Amino acid sequence: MSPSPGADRPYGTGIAVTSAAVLHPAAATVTELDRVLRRGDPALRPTPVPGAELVVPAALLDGFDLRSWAGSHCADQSGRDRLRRVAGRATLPVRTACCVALAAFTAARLTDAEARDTSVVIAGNNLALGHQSRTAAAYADDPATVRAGHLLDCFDTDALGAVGEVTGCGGEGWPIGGSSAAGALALIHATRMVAAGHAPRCLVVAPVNDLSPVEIGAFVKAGAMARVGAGGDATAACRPFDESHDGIAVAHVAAAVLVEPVAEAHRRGIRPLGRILGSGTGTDGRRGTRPDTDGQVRAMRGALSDCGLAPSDIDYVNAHATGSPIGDDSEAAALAEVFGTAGPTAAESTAVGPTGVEGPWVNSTKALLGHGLGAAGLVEAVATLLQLAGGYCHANPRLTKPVRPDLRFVTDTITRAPLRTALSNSFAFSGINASLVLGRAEEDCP
Amino acid sequence: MTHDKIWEVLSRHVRDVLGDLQDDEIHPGQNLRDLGANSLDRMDILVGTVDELRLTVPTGALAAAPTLGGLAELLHAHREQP
Repeated sequence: MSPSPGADRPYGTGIAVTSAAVLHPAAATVTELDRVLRRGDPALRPTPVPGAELVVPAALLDGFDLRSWAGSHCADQSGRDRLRRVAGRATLPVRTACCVALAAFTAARLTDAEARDTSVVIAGNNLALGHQSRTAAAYADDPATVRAGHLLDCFDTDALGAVGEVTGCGGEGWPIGGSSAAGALALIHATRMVAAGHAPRCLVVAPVNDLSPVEIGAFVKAGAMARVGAGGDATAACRPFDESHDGIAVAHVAAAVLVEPVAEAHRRGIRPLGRILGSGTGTDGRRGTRPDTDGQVRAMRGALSDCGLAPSDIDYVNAHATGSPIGDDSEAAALAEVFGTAGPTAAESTAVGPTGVEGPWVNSTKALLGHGLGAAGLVEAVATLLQLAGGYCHANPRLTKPVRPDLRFVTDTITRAPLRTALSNSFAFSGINASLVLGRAEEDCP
Repeated sequence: MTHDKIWEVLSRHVRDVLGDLQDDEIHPGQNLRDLGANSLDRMDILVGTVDELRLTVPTGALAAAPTLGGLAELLHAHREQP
C-alpha cells in the first residue's frame, strides 16, 4: 500500500500524544489496558441496578479509593498529599479525573513553567449523575442535608479546577460536552488548539461519566441496554456488530493524554505513544438519539481528507460500535460506504482477510471494556494507539455472526498485522459524529 | 454549655464534612485549610456546628478564627448565658 497524499495537509497535523493514563476496573495503567486488549476477554460483570429488579452487564469502579490509587501510582509523597487534599472528597468523576490527569502529566515530564501554560480540556458532560441522584434523594428525605459544598460537586467544571490544582496546569480551560462523542471532540479541540498555536500543549482529561439508576433505567426502557438474565454470562452480554447484539454495557472509564507538537516531545526525550493525523466532525442537524449513516460517512471522509489519506491507507478501524442494534447497523453501513470496494484505490490493496474481504480490520473496544460514554472516545483513542504500536487488532470474542459480510471484522482471535494508520469513531446522541485518524509514533509512515 | 461539648460538636462536623481524617489531625492548633477544607467546606462545618449548638454568631467573626481551637473559643464566647 502506498499512502496517497492529499492536497493540503499530507499525513497530518504533526501533533503527538506524548503520554497517556487510563483507569478502568480491569486496567489501572496503560500497560494493563494493553494486556486486557491482547487477552481479549470482556471485563464486564453482572451488576444489579439499585431499586430495580434488573441486572445489567457493566464495569464499574464502585468503592474506588483515591488513597490506595495514590499509594500505588504516585511516586512522591507531596503528589499523594496534594491529590488527597484536592480531590479526596470530590465526586467519583473528579477523583478519577485527577488520578489519570496526574499520571499522564507526570509521565510527560513537564517543568513547572511548562505546566503553567498547559491548557486543560475536560471531556464529558453530566458527569456526576450518580452523585446528583443520591443528593436529591437525601434532600427529599431531609432538606437539612443540603451542603454548601454541593456547589462544587454539581457542576462539571469541578473537574477542570481540581485537575488544574493537582497538576499545576494553568493555561486555557475547556470543558467539552458531547455525550458519547465527548472524548473525541475534546481530543479534536486540543489538537486544533495546539496546531493553531493557541496552546503550546493540552492535557485532555475524560473523567468517569457516572450514571444514576434513572439513566440506566431509561437506557433499558429505550431497548438500548443489554441485560443479564438469571444465570447469564455478563461477559457475553455485549456483542457489538454481531447479529444477536441487543444493547450496550456501561463502564466507568477515565483517561488522560498530553497532546503537543511531535518535536516538543522529542525535545524532552520522550517517545510519543502515537500521532493524531486528522479529524472530522459534524452534526446531523436534528434532535434525537437515532444515528445517521450519512452523517457518520461525512465525519469519516472529513477525517481522511483532513490528513490527505485515502480509505485504502487506513489499516484498522476502532469502531464506535456499542452493541446497540440500531447504532451498530448504521455504523456498519457507513463503514461499508467509506471503505467498500467501490473506493478508487481499494483494488491496489494487498490486504485481504481470511474470508477474502478487503479493507481495514474492524473491531470494537466496547466489547471488552464496556461503554465509557463521555470517556469512550478518549480511552478508545489510547486503545487504538496501543494496537498501532503493538501491531495487533484485539479480538471481539462474542462476534460470531457479523451484521455484514463485506467488512473485515476481527472476531474471536487477536489479529497480528503491521499497522500504520487507524480511524477511531465516536458517535453520540443529538447527531454528533466524530472521527479521528491516528498514526504510529514513527514518522516514516503516514 | 461546656468547652468539651463545643469541641465535641465542632470536631464531629469537621469529620462529617472532611471525612477521611486521622484522629491526630483534629486538635486545637489545627487550621481548617491545612485539613483541605475549601471555603464551602468551612461554611458547612461552621453552619452545621452553630445550628446544632443553637448559637448566634456573625459568620464574619468565625472567618477570622484560623484554628479549630480559636473557633471553639469564639463559639464558647457566644454561648447562651445560663
